[in-house]
Amino acid sequence: MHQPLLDVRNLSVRFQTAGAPVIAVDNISFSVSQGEVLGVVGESGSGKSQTFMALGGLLASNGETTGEALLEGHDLLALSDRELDHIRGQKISYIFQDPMTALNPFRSVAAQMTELLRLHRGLGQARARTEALRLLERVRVPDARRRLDAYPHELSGGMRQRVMIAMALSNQPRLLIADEPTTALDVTVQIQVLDILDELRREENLAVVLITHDMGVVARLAHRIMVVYAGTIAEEGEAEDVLLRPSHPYTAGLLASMPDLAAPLTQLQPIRGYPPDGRKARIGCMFAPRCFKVQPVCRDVTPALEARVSRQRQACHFPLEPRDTAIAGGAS
Amino acid sequence: MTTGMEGLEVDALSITYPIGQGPFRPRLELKAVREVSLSIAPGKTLGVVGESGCGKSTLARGILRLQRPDGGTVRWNGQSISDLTDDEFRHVRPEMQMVFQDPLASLNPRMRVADIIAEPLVTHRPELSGSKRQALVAKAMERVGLLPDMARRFPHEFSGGQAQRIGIARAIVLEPGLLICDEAVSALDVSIRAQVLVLLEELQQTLGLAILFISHDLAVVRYIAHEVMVLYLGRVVEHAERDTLFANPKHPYTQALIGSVLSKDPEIERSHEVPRIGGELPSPIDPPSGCPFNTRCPLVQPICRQTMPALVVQPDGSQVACHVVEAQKAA
Ligand SMILES: Nc1ncnc2c1ncn2[C@@H]1O[C@H](COP(=O)(O)OP(=O)(O)OP(=O)(O)O)[C@@H](O)[C@H]1O
Ligand SMILES: Nc1ncnc2c1ncn2[C@@H]1O[C@H](COP(=O)(O)OP(=O)(O)O)[C@@H](O)[C@H]1O
Ligand code: SF4
Ligand code: SF4
Ligand SMILES: [Mg+2]
Ligand SMILES: [Mg+2]
Repeated sequence: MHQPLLDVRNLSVRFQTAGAPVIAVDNISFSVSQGEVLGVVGESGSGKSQTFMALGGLLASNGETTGEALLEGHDLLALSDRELDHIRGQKISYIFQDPMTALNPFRSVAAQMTELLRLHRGLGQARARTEALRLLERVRVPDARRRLDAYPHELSGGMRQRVMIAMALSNQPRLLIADEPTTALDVTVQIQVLDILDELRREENLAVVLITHDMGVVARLAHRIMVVYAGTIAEEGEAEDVLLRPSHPYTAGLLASMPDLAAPLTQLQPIRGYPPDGRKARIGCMFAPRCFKVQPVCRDVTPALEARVSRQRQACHFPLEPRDTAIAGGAS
Repeated sequence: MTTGMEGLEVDALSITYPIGQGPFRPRLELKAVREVSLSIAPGKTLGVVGESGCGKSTLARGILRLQRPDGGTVRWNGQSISDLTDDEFRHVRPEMQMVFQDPLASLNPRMRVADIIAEPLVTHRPELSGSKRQALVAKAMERVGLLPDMARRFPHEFSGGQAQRIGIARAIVLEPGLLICDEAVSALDVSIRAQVLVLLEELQQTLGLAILFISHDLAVVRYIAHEVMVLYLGRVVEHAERDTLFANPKHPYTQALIGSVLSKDPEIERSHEVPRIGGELPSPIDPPSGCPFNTRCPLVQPICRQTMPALVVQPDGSQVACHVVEAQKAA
């Protein structure tokens, strides 16, 4: 159905630190297709952001990357900085949680947007302004003509995030990486911003990577979900399979930790313990210390990511069968 | 003045921030909290919800006298704390403790965990011996699930979830009667948030805590709260028992909030219609006349632009401030 746009193979990201190196991403492989939303979920520090920062050459200076990331045939990880800048300018855009850090507080929306449009698309000032207005209208900024001349602090959080999305569209990207785009927004605004992203995906045939902590966000938008734990993929599959029939104990635990207004009120069943430090030795299953299904073999043998019991792939020696899921308190 | 009521009682509390002061600027007022009344009995949790900027934190600050109210009273176990001198209030303050959103930022990075947790004891119970103090710290740590060997460590050695446990241990070490949690689980990861929520439930049962639980996350509030209060531009628009509020929200704003919450079930979420509430939160410096929600309300009537609806008790016991709800009741 979809054309694969980005194909990532054996990606690892490590950071050199004063002590042991931090392994932020450990040998992961995945792909994203045009017109598809890939949801990436997992707890803080699991490596979600660094995976996608690595693709854009945006890691901190102590970070190193290995592996391949093919975008329309170009290996992003093998490009020189200049070539990467070029591809990024043409094909990839990022949207982050806090638009205030990405916007210049001293320049109007129009000034910032026209600069990008002149840079990326070589438009003259007048045409850049017309295009900026069109993009703001595209992301449903009400009263866009007036907001074009506003400064970031004069806009609400939701409006700023729309401006960020409009700016991310200025290079007509093929791949949009949205890292917690709605985490800082109120629920009433969150749902509007998500629906704008989905509309863009549909109408422009964009590939969207949606990074979030919130299972509700991926339930609304994602076609496929990748659950990340300690720098590895714990489970990957169709959104319906992963959310309704989780096969990895970590996914089931995350779902059982989240109260849901649409489901009857039941006792929460938290996952015990805490996620590991990135410096921890990587032997066996990284989830073993917290897992309710752990067996001795789990501590010694790293489970491969493959489809054992269901359509989705899971990195687990003893995956949950669909009927276990109710016991684990997984889906509602 | 005293009443017989145990726990917290807040009556018509209003708090105003002066802003835009300066030699050439007009003096403006931001009415952050307007005539908010509530009560929380021991062992009960009141959830406070609303969009950011609606006055939730200001309400908490007003209750703890961190912000001077311009009207209303706060009573603790029947005693008005609004009229107390600062000196007199110091004796009541240990009863009322707060847990903040950002666990690491709220802990002194140069103090060891045991000293952080002991701090309220040093301030409010200086008569305690060192060994008695240590015993109380150890007990608080055990209650929140921190291991004894963590006592000598510094905050930066802890994850967010562990740091929040330290914050809670510090808040409960004096065995307070009231715990105010201002977005206390919002910064935590899903699995750790669930741990902390379960911990708060357990502590409430063992200590008989009254909890004021402020959050913008309605699913979390439904889980933890017995009653829920919805604020909009500093005013209570709806206040009801938990089950009543979530099963039958009456105020158009409450309906919009609940209708915006995402479900983790994709089959539900794919057909979830977005509530039609227009526009954005109006400026709290210049709120709309009449009903504060009238600029966004899908049910707005001419009267809503003129007259502020009163908070009225409904047949099911909930309180709602809306003209249309009133008119429907009469019909
Ligand atoms: N410059 C750096 N030096 C050392 N370690 C780093 C650096 N940047 C990130 N890390 C580590 O890499 C790991 C993955 O971080 P990443 O930002 O990808 O997490 P995340 O899943 O996006 O988390 P969050 O949900 O909090 O955004 C973490 O352990 C983090 O501490
Ligand atoms: N110190 C302050 N000075 C001026 N205005 C403030 C101050 N603190 C909060 N406000 C304003 O008061 C209103 C309520 O804020 P707050 O209680 O923090 O809301 P919430 O906690 O619900 O997000 C907001 O409009 C906010 O901008
Ligand atoms: S491999 Fe073992 S420890 Fe890891 S998730 Fe599966 S059952 Fe649990
Ligand atoms: S009083 Fe009017 S504007 Fe206010 S919530 Fe009710 S219907 Fe809407
Ligand atoms: Mg991140
Ligand atoms: Mg607040």
